[in-house]
Amino acid sequence: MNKVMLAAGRAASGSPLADADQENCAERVNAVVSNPAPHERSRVADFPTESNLAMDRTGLFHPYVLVLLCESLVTASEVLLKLGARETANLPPFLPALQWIGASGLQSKWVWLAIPCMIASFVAWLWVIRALPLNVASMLASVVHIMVPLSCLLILGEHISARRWCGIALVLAGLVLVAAPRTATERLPVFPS
Amino acid sequence: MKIVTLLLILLAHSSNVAGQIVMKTALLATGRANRFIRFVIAIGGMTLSFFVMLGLLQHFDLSFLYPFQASGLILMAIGSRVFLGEKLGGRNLVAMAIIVAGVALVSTS
Repeated sequence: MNKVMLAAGRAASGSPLADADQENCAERVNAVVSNPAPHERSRVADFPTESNLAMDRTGLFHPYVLVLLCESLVTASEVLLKLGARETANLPPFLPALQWIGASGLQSKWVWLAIPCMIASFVAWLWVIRALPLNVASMLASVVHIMVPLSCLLILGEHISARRWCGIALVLAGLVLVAAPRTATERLPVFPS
Repeated sequence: MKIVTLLLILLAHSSNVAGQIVMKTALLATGRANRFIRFVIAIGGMTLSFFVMLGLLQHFDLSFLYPFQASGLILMAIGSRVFLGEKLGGRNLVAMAIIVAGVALVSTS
């Protein structure tokens, strides 16, 4: 089993394996995954092969479209929350002692529109991590750190200074560094062409 | 940036992280009652985070507050190391330093 996975990982990382070897590896991996020995079942369950990820990946259900949808929903919910917060910023708080909690924001329709967007983004994220390895999904999800500032600029009309853009770029670089795959096995193709 | 603002941002993100860590322990816990209590605490933490963030949004730009969400990643890494015993690699530490630098730049803008 280990040798099979190692060979499949080597094939994915671009090591010089002949086409016949690669096909052989894929066949053996699929054979082990479809009929694992009892002591290997728990390890096989998370192995990203075509059979483990049998789901519709066309149109809206393509993982990259789902990532874009998910992050668009996150951006929409943040912008809607900000619109609601802006609308209710001058309303008196429910409890003066708790004025730092934005419960008065619940009086805005924008906040109530934001909540279904948050829930929908969560559901879309579940679909994404079902279809993609978590490190790839996290890296793609970093696009939200560009989408939100752009939305602030274009929709909310906020001024973003050069210094703030530099800070956002640094945060994005750090997130990409965290999410980048570390090993050949992590780079294993999820969608064999 | 006032110290109160910084503390509120920290409260918003740490309560969210605490909620997620407790949620993770709830998924691993045995016993229905134990699991339910942890689940309620987790939802409570996330709800507190939502309202504190809403309060902050009433006073600050979204483009100012949003990069601080990345600090949640750092809190999450520290929390999962301390409470769940998960491994924290050298590259994660470098990434954390870059994120802290980015957030510091945003907070002084």
